[in-house]
Amino acid sequence: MSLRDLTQQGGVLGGTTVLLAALLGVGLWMLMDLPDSEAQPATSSPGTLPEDIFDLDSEQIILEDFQTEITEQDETQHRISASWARLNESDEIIDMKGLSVEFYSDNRPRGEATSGYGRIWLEDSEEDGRSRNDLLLSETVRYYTIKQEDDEEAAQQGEWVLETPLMLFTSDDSTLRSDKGYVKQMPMESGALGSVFSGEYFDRVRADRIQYDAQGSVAMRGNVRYESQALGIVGQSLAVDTASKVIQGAGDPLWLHRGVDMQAQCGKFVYDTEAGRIQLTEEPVVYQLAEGKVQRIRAGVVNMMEDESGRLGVSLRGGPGGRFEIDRIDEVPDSPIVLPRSAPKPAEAAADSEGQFLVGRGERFEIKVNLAANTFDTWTEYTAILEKTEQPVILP
Amino acid sequence: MKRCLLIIPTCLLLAAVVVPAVGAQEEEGSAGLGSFAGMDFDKIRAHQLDLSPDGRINLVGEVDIESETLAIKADVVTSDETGDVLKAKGSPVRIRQGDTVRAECRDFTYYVESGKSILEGSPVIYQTTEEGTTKVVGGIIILTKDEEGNTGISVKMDPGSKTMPTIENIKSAPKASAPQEKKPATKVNDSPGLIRLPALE
Repeated sequence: MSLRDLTQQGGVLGGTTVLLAALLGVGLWMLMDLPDSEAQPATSSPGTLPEDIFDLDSEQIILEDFQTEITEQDETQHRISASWARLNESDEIIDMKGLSVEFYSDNRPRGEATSGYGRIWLEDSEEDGRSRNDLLLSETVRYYTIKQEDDEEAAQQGEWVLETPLMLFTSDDSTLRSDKGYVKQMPMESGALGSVFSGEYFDRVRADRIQYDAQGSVAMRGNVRYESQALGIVGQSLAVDTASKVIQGAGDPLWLHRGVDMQAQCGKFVYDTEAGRIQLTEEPVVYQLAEGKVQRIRAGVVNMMEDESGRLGVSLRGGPGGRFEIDRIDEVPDSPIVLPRSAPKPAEAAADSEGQFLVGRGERFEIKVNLAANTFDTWTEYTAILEKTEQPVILP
Repeated sequence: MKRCLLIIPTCLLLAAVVVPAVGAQEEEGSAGLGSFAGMDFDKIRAHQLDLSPDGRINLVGEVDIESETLAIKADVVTSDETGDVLKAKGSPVRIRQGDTVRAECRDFTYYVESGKSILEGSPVIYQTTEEGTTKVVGGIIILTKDEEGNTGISVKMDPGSKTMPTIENIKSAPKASAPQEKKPATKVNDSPGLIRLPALE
């Protein structure tokens, strides 16, 4: 099936999914040559965007001022306008240039995006690992949420803007894919990063990779650094699983700081939030400042568990030579975490965070999110940083 | 709803990562696990430690605790939820108080508030003074403190035992299994000194 066939069929592809709503403008013509600037391939990423996506060397039909609509079960998902479009030789992909996309949820607009290029898969593609109706945007993709003024709940979730070289919208996993990572599209009821990680505002979260899945689980890997007024964590991984409600961290070692009076290191840190149990394993050492002295606890396993009334129980098992040891030392050893000079502040609910903004920075893209927003996740191949600001940062 | 579920437990994390002082979990400036039964212990070693939410503490397996005033080696050491009663069991329990008093028994109970100590199970106390070392053997030895800090000693026979308590002067007390660095015996947190026997004539 060619694009010409599509137009002759009244613009409906497969009768269900892709509706060519209109073909406007000058019309179509046979492309013989494109200027170099337009023929330049987009940034590639193995498995997501073939190198030749915009290698327009064939006698393909080009549609100018192309518009289409992607529907699922009679509900509009995306409305796409492009300065031109072309169906590839396999008839399974539409490539587009100069895109403007409106995103819908429950037939209501929820976001807009612009990009230099775009691609729609009309059929499942094992080769590309893509499903029918997947939409890929590339080249300076900017995504803006649309605030739902008449929906109180949605309005509280705020607005956010995301800029990335590559984004993928897929019905399979709601993944937005960047050429250097993933950006997950969160369901509206999920919590923002700020609420997931501590129920408070963190000042800075940094990792080589941050993943946020559709259920709200967060996984940070590689040179993880979490900093807030109350808590500092440095390690190689830190993850929150929303299904089990377990927070896990690991490092060699993982460092934990709580204000100025407590520091711990261990190989593995597990916090079962439902059971109220914290476990430090793999050579855990806890340092606590008390009355000018440093108390050191070395054990094989350190367990801390709360009872129903919130009181804390502690158990120590094993340690150096089979016995745990509590002793006093002169100084807390240096750690990669800089202790805050002030006493830790109590946790601050993310729901009260209106007016503060989360700024994400990556090697290849930047993300700006209002802390009240609910729907984002990102990672870069390089270091990703999320930090709190008082003012939104205007995208360049 | 999901947001609430996520916020609440993580707040618990912030509260929970601080190891509390036994029996003083809500006080500011807590001294940590090394403080219980009215004393700050410089060193605690054992195979297991369990601090229950109500403040009880259980130390099991080659327990070795040391403070400036008291050192105990035992199989099990426990402290109740009030932090007022410290109990030790062992075969035997070895107790050292300051530089002058050493004791052994199978069951040792110390009441922090009153300063009363009860040694049961073949208790033996050695007290070393300038005049020499006094050895006290009995079925049950009870040490008490009056309001002025003077120590009283009561030695009883074991119920059903025909062995009479004995008090004798010996050349020197047996050496402790693990020699300790000498430190002056001082009170900690107003807890009375544990065992300070009067010089026995």
